[in-house]
Amino acid sequence: MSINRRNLIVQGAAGAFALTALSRNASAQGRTQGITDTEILIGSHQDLSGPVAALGSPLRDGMLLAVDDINAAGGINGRQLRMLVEDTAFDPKKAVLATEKLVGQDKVFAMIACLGSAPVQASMPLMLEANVPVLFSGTPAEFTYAPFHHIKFGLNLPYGIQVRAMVRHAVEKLGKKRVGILYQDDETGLSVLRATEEQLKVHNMAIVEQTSYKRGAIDFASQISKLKAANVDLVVLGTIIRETAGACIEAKKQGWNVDMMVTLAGANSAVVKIGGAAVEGLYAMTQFVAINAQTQTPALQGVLARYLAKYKKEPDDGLIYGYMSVQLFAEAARKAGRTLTVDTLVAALEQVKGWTGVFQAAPVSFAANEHLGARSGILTRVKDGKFMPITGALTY
Amino acid sequence: MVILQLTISGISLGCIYALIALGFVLIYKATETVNFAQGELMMLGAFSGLVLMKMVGLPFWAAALIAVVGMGGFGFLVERIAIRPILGQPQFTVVMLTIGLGYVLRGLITMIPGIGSDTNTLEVPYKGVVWNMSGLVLSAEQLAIILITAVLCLGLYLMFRYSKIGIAMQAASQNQIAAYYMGIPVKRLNGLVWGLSAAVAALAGLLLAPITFVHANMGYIGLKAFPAAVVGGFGSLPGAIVGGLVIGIVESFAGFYLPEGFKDIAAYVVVLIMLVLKPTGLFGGSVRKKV
Repeated sequence: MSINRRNLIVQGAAGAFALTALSRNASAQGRTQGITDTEILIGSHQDLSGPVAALGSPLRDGMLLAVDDINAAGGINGRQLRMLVEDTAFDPKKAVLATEKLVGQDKVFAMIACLGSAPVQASMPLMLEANVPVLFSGTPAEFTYAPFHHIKFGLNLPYGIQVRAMVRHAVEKLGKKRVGILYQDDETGLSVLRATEEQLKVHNMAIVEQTSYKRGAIDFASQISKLKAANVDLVVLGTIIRETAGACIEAKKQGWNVDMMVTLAGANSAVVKIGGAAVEGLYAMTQFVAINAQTQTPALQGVLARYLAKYKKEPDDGLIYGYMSVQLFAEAARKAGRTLTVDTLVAALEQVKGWTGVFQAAPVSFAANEHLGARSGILTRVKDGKFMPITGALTY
Repeated sequence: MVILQLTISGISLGCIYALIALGFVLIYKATETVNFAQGELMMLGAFSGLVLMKMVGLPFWAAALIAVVGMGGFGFLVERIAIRPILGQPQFTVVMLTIGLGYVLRGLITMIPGIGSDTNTLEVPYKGVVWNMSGLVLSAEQLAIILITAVLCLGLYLMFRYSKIGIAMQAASQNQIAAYYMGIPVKRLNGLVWGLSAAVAALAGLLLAPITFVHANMGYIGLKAFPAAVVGGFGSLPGAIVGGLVIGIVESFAGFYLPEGFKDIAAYVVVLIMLVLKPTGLFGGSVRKKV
């Protein structure tokens, strides 16, 4: 193919794309799609085969199970719920294609709990442009609710809030006086550091000792020695999984019995699996109590039993977010009534106050100018290998 | 007391760097190529131990022994199958080959169902044993690393000094062609050196496992062992050990006394200083290659 011809085709394609985008924009305002007399069609994209598939697949299973449960109970105002899920393999390009398909061809009414910062960030403009609500995206990133957009609702508890709430609890309720921090030298760890500093300032305190490591570090001996020498009585951990266990093990090895607190990132059963006895007593902030530590209500047991029957595998904590997201959507769609449109759904979502679903979780509230639903977290502590809740929902 | 504590943890970590650096140097001396998959060989050794314990159900000592010997065999095979056919090609080829080998090993490991993409613990019998002596805390894991490294070094020293094969290896590393003319089977020796180096790496992996867990990316520690080999003078076995210890101790002290972040760059700062002051390394010979 000659260069000129190829150019022509590329330009032509770009032109056509711009045209469709324009026409879509013009007609999108106030439009509702995906609703028929008998059905509500919703969509989502998940990582089902990529690096965080371990999170994405139970999340999808949780959503599909919730859809089944809702339909079995009679649907939403006479309509059945149907859900389509596409795989992104955590690749933003695939997320864009998946969104093109779901929003453009399948014409879903709303996109729910799409997973991962990069995939969601890349695909969100397509959804907003088509007036498809972007609900409860599965990432603690700020762009899921800010800047404010009337059809964008966030449900994932941001790190900043978790850290400030747990530091406040540590100072006010546990009487901690000397706070130190060990954090990963990247955006995740730094957000923990900043939030700790901010919250300590509120109590007229400052970080006594801070120390960091690069992602992938294997040895925390000198960092822990440093914190120990500073005689801190609480170590805030801006760590993920391996490093959380590593820090606890190193402290035990140095014979140092200090309280440590980690965010949601470290409140993971893998930490207990690899940390063993050394992580007993670790405090961890969560948005949802782990399944094995939940109060076993009949409703919860019902969900778990149906999960086991449907998927033939042990329920994984990841299902909670999926199940809850669809449950919350159904709750709002029900309130919106038989004339379900984007506008009535948004209005109903903004009325949600203190909602908790079948799981033990921090309550969800939205308001007309507040589209982040989760503003509190539950503090847990590892006991017998389980993250047991020790407080109600904490805020700062 | 803090100083002693930091020194001990520095030495134990330094021993791991030293063992991997030893692998680099063994292969470099014998074949004049750098094996960039050394860290991955270590990872593979740790995973072999893990699989033997978890899936086959062997006790730790048996699993460790089989893993080390097995990795020795693996190293021998790698040399025979992958390295030997491309001898005579530019140096660059071997470098790319070993980098590629590292990628392949990491990729293959993550395909093991159940444990490959997970972080695993290796249940060593001495796990979590700690002695507290008036403020100085000694853990069995650190002690095991230090003792086993010392024993290994002694063994290697005796082998190179007194055994026929060790002396042959030395001869081959000094002048391959001369050694070949003297009737030393240089090709087979190269295979043995690869095997030895892989076995040492496996040992390092097994020693490191209780401290850092076993996972596909644990081989990146090779990036720290490389400076250790350079500091020691790339062609010197005692240099690799001393270089490893220097890097380990400097890191340990940097993490405690210097502002945060310095621990992570300490190893490379040491290398830069060394290259400026004594480019041949601590134990490097002054003999230059004639071009």
